[in-house]
Amino acid sequence: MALPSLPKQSKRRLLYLSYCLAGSIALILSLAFLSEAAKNSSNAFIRMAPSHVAMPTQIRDLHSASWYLAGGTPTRFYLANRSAPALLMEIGMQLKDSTLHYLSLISLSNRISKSLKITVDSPNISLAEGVSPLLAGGRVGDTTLHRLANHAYFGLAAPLSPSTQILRATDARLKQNILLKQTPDTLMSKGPILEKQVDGIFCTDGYLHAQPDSNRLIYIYSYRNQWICLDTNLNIRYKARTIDTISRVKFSVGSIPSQHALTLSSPPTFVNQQSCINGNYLFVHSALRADNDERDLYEMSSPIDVYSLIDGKYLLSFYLPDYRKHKIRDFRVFGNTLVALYDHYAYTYTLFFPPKLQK
Amino acid sequence: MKTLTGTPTHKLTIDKREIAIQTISCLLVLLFVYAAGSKLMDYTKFRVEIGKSPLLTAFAAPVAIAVPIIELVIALLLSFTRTRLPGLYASFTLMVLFTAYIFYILRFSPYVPCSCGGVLQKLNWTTHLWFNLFFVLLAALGVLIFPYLEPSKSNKAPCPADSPSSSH
Repeated sequence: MALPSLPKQSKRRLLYLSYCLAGSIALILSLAFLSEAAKNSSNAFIRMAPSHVAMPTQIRDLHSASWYLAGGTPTRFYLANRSAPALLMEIGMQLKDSTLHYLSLISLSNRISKSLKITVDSPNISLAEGVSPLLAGGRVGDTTLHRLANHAYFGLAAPLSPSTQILRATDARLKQNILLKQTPDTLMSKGPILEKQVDGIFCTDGYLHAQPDSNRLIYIYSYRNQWICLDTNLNIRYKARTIDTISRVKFSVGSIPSQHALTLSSPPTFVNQQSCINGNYLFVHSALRADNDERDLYEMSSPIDVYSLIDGKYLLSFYLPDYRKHKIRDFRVFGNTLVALYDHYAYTYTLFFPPKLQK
Repeated sequence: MKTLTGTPTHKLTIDKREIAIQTISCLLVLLFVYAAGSKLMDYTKFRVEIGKSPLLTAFAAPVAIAVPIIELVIALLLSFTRTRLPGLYASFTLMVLFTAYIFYILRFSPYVPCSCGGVLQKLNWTTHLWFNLFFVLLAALGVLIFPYLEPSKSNKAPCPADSPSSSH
């Protein structure tokens, strides 16, 4: 015996304690097993993934994970910084040369909230912060940002031009998110375009992308397999689906009266984690494993599904492997180059689509 | 120690042991009553938060009811001499459960929800882990130094093995 010197009762108590220990750990492990099994249940869809679609090219250490992608052109892109909103980094696609711009925000406001987002549609810079709310614009080169007319609090903003924006705001009367078009003098809406499924706020969450040159707006939901293509006057062109099968939002919403807060009361099932548009393509970082995704491979990479913006059809998928155990946290496509951010690294990939699938 | 004045020193150790057990029980009672209290004070919040836990999704409703009740029952068990030993075993088990849960959430969960109440909410997760481990060890210690049934009047501290086999 391991403990020959201890009296019998002592040994018995140690034994009981180890039963308790083993029992509790077994209970947690079986909970873990059950939740894992639920997570890995079949999602009933498959991906088409031709090989060699995304070829890794360059990598660069950004020394900070606060950078996010603000915009770009086929030859260079811009990074804005979450913790230092006055910084704007311009980097060439070879990731070699970079320039740091300092935006002048002094004239804007004393108090700037975390939701501040900078978008660069070269050469226009726009700043949006929906809590204050605050909209401002400037140009690369002349980096003083000037405040723009704004008539609403908003959650998301997508600039169409230096003076016009599409906003996603919360309609107090309908108790749900709606889309608005804002010009210096007007605020226009076209009825509830976003479809309420549970609470109208969380369940309609998603991403808003504007492509003013092609007269396109894309709204893609985070928690269900749908996206909408509109023209820049908020008329629906078509509605489309992503390839997975989650057409209803999977979570419930609870309110906490003591904090006057509305919150999710079950873990949400993410469908579309991030997305971007470029040319005639919509790129979606999906959160779901397809039935033909190799489990080990899926764990070590992020699937990107590509859809045609012309008719909303699914085209193909490719995988962006994790870099140093980091998953991608942001990505954009400019021309043929995909720029992905992993923690504090920027990584570029060159995209080659099979000729039959080019739009 | 053994050589000189055996009896008084020995008496002292018995007292110390009793004080230790009382202190341990008190600390555990405080912990559980506080934890259960802060959960019940804002029960809606607790229920909502626990629903977000990736590990408990399917069982959120029963778990949300059971946890504070179990905490209170254990506190009761610890308050009476007769039920103190099972109370200590139960505290040990519950604290191991909490600790294993935290450990799993920290290591493997895609995100970290928080369903602790009151001050405990302010602890960061690593501190929380140490905090829990401390109470696990405390409860285990309580069990191990708990006087055996038939407290031997013959004053032999590490008690002889012949006591009847007990209710626990």
